[in-house]
Amino acid sequence: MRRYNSFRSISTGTLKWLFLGFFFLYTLLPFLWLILSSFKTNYEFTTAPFSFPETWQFENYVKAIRISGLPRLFVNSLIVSVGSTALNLFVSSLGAFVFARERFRFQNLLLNIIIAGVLIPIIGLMVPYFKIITTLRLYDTKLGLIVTYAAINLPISVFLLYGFMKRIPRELEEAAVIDGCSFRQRYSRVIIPLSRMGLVTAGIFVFLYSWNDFIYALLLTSSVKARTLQLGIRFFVSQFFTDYTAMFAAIVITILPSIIIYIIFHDKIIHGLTSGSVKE
Amino acid sequence: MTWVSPGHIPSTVEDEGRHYIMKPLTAKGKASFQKHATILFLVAPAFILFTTFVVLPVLQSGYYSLFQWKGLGPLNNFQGVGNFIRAFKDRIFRIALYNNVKIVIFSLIIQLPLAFSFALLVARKKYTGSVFFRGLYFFPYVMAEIVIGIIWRFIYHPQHGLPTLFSQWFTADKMEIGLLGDTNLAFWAIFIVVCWKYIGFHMILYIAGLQGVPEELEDAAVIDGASKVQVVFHIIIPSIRNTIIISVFLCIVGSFNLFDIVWAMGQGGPVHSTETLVTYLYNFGFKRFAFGYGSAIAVIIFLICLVFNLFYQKYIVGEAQK
Amino acid sequence: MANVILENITKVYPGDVKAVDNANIEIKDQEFVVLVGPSGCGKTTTLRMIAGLEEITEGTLTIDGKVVNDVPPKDRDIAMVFQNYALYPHMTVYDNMAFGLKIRKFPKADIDARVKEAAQILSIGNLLDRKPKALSGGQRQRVAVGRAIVRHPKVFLFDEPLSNLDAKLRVQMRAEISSLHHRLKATMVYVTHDQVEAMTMADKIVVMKDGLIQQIGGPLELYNSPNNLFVAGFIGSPPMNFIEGRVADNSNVFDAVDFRLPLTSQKASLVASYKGSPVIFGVRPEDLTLDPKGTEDNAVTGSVLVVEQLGEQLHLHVEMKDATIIAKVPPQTKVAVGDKVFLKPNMEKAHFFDKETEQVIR
Repeated sequence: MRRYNSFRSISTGTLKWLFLGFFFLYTLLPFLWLILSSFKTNYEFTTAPFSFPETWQFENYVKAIRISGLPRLFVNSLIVSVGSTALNLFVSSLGAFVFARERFRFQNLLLNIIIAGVLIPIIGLMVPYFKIITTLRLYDTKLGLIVTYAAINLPISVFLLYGFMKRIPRELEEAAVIDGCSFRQRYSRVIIPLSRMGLVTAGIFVFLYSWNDFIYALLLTSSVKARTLQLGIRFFVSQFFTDYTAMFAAIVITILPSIIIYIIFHDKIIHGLTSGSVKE
Repeated sequence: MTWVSPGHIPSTVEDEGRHYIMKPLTAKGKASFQKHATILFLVAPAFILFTTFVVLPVLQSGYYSLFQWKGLGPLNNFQGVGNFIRAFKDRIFRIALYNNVKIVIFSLIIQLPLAFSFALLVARKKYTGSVFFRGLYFFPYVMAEIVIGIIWRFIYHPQHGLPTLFSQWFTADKMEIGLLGDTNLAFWAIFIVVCWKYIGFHMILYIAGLQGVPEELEDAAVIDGASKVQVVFHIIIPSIRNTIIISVFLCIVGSFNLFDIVWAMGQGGPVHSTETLVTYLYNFGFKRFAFGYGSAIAVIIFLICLVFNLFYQKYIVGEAQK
Repeated sequence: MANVILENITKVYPGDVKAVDNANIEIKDQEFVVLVGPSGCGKTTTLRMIAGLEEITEGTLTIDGKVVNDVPPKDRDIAMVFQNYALYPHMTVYDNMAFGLKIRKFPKADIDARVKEAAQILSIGNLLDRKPKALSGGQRQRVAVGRAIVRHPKVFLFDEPLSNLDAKLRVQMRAEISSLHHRLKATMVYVTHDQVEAMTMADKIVVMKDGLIQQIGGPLELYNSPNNLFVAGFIGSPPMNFIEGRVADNSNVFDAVDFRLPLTSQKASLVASYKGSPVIFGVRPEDLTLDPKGTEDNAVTGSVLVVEQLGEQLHLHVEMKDATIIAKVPPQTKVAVGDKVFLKPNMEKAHFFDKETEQVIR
């Protein structure tokens, strides 16, 4: 893609660099401070917050894992996030396939209703979600969170996948029909492989949502058996008490997956976020 | 935290009359029935999930909001609009609403212009640094808000936090600055974090918009004698008008959905000074098992968002269809 | 290999749009038939009905003696080359060609042999491992053809396969498809909007307009004796010139107000019944010759508007009162813009059309 580069000299000069530099620090400082602190002793942390640690305290991380029960939280979060992503993609890709590639009665109405769900402030639905999940006897289970997260993200996924699948040229599917594909084969051998980008994009969104969500984990679980990382974090302050640096180590561990996903997929995340806004 | 993004804000989908493949090729009635049965089978899971977790809860919220209800037993204490009246009579609710409005206003006059300026500066590939800046500024957006809240709570720590540290550089005596404990300053402390998280997001939107503006347009304006500032106001801003509207819309709706950060940094305190509508819903509705009252708050949040959605649909979708 | 017969085929889209109206076409075994016409004329719809991608509203479609109206595409034993090639972007060239055979559960060795054979015919053997994205337009075109070849279908269907290629490649692929036809001795139905493709490749051309078949015939037949104004103007480049006028009362002169053309006795008897009525006179650019001794009473008269030197010939655009015509003259002809010229038509090869019905007068 051609980059935007004709805007020459308004941005040259010290002002611009001061501006960028200030916000560079603003953005980076919290991370830097967090990571440095996580390798310090508590004494160093309180006396020299910006120096490098004299000796890198890797045992902070060992302590963090021991005190916080991180592995369990981590596994729970992973199960919930992967599970909800898989469930969501399965359900929404089937739906999107039918909406994008077939024609039937009430099609546009149904589709519009589903994707209008994107605009609903889901966070306000605390009371009904609590009722529904308890009624379904899914309170305090990982399955409850999986279903909830998969459902919350359904409108977004259907909308994204619908867009992707709609763009697949009709001729490709016709070629597949002439090549002898059945309905199922068209889905599995042509449309799904060609929507891979869309599936990845939608999948990242569902995964990150599930991984990052706090409020529904707070509402719909109570014990440690379904407790996710984000929920576990709120107990850190009491668990670690004054052992700040070990707590920072625990926090670093919780954000690692986000960092890794971001580094690998940031192009897709950005693309997915902006795909609708560029059509001026 | 909502993951709504511009690409995901739906406008009405219309069938452009394309040909579809699956059509009755055998005896017509039977094939049509089979086809619809297959389609039904494939859409059903999505629809069941959607109905149970989106449609039903919205309707339930509306229904519960008319009752005083503890979540157990029958709904028989009908209140009509009583819950709504109670909310608007509650000083803390008004604080929460006022805080949300303040966040919207200051986001619009501080956060978005900053994001736009960044976009102008880094949308170009010219420096090697710009890709890095983009990646860095955007990263907070993918982080869990609860983690961000916790981190910043420690950054604001009265004894070991950065404000206290910075103050020591300028004044001799050790003075403790506890931003989050001060009813006047806590809001601003949180606002700084909100900006920290979302500036990068809006910047990415603007960059995407800017990349869609043909360079020739600006070159033409420069040849016509426009100054840099004029180019920005007469060429660039009108050209990315839709992106700006989307960004404003997301900023407004996002502000009304703010919860995790606020909760992590003080649960709406101190003394409810940083309460937002959603923390209010949690603290005064959910936590106290005032499910009817909480649902009324939810309905208020829906209605506010709905108004902005309608505006958005009118301006973006309406324009697009012209 | 097989014949294809369309009997009273009609296609009506929802909203009562008649895309194809009562088409009757007989495509013989091993014949190369080109459906040609401007966009929206129903040619692609016709092809898609043969393929089974479009439902037939009325009429009977027979392939190889069997009515196939309700047979799904995969069981019609046809192969199709799409305008945009429709190569599966997630598969290699090899897999693209093998896909239809895999779906039909052919043995692996058989698939391999057929793909290799097709690749060799089309000389794309070195591209088999590539993905379509890594191919040029011409190469993609070959793969699309290869995908059809491997199937050994009864009928090949081509939907404007060359329209996305540049001019030079188009000429080359045109010849290759022709030679492929001779080599495979297959029945082929080919849709194009380009009359040059139709003329150069077809055994038989079907000219369509607005869903109606205008004329069916061999290339020369259409060129020399078009049925109506549309076919006359569509086939040939530059197109046939049309001049409006009337048959003089004595029926042996065509009167175009500014000039008059005497008719041969054969033409005169042809238009005898149009005495005094308006007709349209048609003559091809190459059937006009510059006549320095011509007059308004025996030649088309006008002034030169544009002179186009093509090297092997010269195109003169001549402006008359309410028409511009084109004449092909020898390249060394000396004329200048603005010259008044007299062009003598070869009256043997002239055509007359009824102004009302636009049908040729025979």
